Amino acid sequence: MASVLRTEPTVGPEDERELVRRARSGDRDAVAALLERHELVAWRVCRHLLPAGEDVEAAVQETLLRALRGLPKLAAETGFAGWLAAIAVNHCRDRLRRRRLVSFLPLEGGADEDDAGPVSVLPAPAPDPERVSMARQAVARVRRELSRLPRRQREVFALRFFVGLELEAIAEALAVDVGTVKTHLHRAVHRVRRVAEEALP
Amino acid sequence: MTAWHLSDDELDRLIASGELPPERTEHVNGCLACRRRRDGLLAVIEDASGADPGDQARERVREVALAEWGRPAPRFHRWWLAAAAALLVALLLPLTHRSRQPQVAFDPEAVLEEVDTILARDPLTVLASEEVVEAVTSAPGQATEGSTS
Repeated sequence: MASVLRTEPTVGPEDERELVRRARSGDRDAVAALLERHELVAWRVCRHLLPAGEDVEAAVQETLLRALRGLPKLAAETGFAGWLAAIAVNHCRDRLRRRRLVSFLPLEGGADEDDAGPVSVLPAPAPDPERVSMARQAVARVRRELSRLPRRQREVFALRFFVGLELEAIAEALAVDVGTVKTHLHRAVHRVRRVAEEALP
Repeated sequence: MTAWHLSDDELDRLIASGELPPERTEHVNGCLACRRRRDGLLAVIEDASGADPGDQARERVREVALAEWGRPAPRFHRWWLAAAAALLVALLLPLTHRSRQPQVAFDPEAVLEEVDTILARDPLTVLASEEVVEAVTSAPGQATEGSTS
């Protein structure tokens, strides 16, 4: 399915299990290799679940450290990416709880309509400036809408589209059933699609 | 292939979980308009994700985490000390309670009064036992008797 937008380079399950096994026994090289492969999961979760102004780098660092300290508890069969995502989500929740900002602050800094960054929705090869502007507006609106989503919908959306987890892995990471994940994801997609299509040509 | 395009709800389902009836999936595969709509939305979502951190930032954070991992967690020590202190208090509390229980309440006034009474009766009892005091106080008479005999 094309909705899994950003995935890490695929690693064989056997290779992954072996790395996890070595990491659990304290092999530093294996730990470093696992982090290098999957750390973007922590970066993306923290970037999308924390409000603007929150120190994402510090949050990622703490997430990785929590993961390393929890390695002995990681079952060899568990996917490292999903496990790391769960730790990152919990860490973000802790930070938000501490700051009592769970649903009040935007996720992305400003989400200024003129600062939507590069866009890939442009028709190749020579983008029409009007379409570029519309695409930027759509991206900015989607970001703003994401920041307004209820916490659970935001988490599910980020894990699905920004981290690239499968529905089952999301359910495991959030300790809910797959049906719940689907419901939240469907609602989130509905809201995001509506605002995106309003802005798109 | 069914002729009509994807409804909003079908598109939401396709994007969210990919779950569509086979004939509708077949329609999407053959319909340029529906594919454009789906791909356009996915592209906006991807752009909304923003840029990932650079290699330097990733490496820096990873290395710090690995270095911290090598050190003992300070929080653990604090908790360990707190737990040990709590355990010690929990163990000592019944002991102090028990040792206090049989004691009669201490009344300094009564003690002082008793001391005063003893001193008034005979100041020497403060310095020596009753037998010694008795021996000393009765000694002059005995000595006199002994010396005279």
